[in-house]
Amino acid sequence: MLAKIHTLSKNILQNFQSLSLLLARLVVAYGFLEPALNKWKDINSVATWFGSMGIPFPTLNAYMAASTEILGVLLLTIGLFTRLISIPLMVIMVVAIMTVHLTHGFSAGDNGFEIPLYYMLFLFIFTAHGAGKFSLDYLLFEKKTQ
Amino acid sequence: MRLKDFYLELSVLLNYFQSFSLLFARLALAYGFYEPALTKWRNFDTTTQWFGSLGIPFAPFMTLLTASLEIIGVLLLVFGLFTRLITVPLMIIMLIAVLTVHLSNGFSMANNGFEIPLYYFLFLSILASHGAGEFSLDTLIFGKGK
Repeated sequence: MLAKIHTLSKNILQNFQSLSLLLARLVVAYGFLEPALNKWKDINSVATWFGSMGIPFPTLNAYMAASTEILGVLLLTIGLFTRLISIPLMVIMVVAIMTVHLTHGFSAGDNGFEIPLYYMLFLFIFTAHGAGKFSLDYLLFEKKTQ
Repeated sequence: MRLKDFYLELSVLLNYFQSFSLLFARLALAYGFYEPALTKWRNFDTTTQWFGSLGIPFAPFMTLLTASLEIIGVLLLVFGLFTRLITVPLMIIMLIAVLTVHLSNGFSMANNGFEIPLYYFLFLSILASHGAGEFSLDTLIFGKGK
């Protein structure tokens, strides 16, 4: 009986895999958009900020972070090289947690690491599962081999 | 085509992390639901009044239902048992939370917007469609299946 319910719910719900990945990709892309644009608007103060947190080569790393984030917004939206771009974005989240959020605890209300952790988990899911069928990755790389 | 081969090889490698990513998402969600669930049980009457003031019908019953689903959700998500079945009602709770509480506050978490319940909704929809992964009682009991 339970096994039947399990199988039935599985058969129905697994049709939504690509849809759930698409929605998550769009939301994560939206989440990176503002931080990315803010970094580009005033890259010098980002470099100063990075330096004050003890990040080495702050100017280079400010450009790296800003480029990766804006590229991430684009690639996550269209689902191109999704697994690849998710990895450096995860690294950025780890660095953000270690340098900014960790000392504030978990809760997002206290500027804790809650939200960057959620982003990291989404990105880890994208790295492991890919972008789903509603993506350029699927059209370009996967479609015929399926 | 080199790029395509590279992408497919990379996919095969990264696919090994699927169950890890689902496990981490489950644990983060369980942790996230733990406090709201306990708060509802501890302050049951206040929660009922609050639900009533939000215009939710049958407030005492709905409070009982929500508090029960959330605490059961914490348990089931940790163990990965009936993962698909429990994620669907939790998604509905998130949807109602967004509509009744957060939507009028906009997106950003800083203004009590719908950012975090949206992330929860997306994690839950990924778990609903992908299942709990291999590190779960679902896989232990019901098998991997296809």
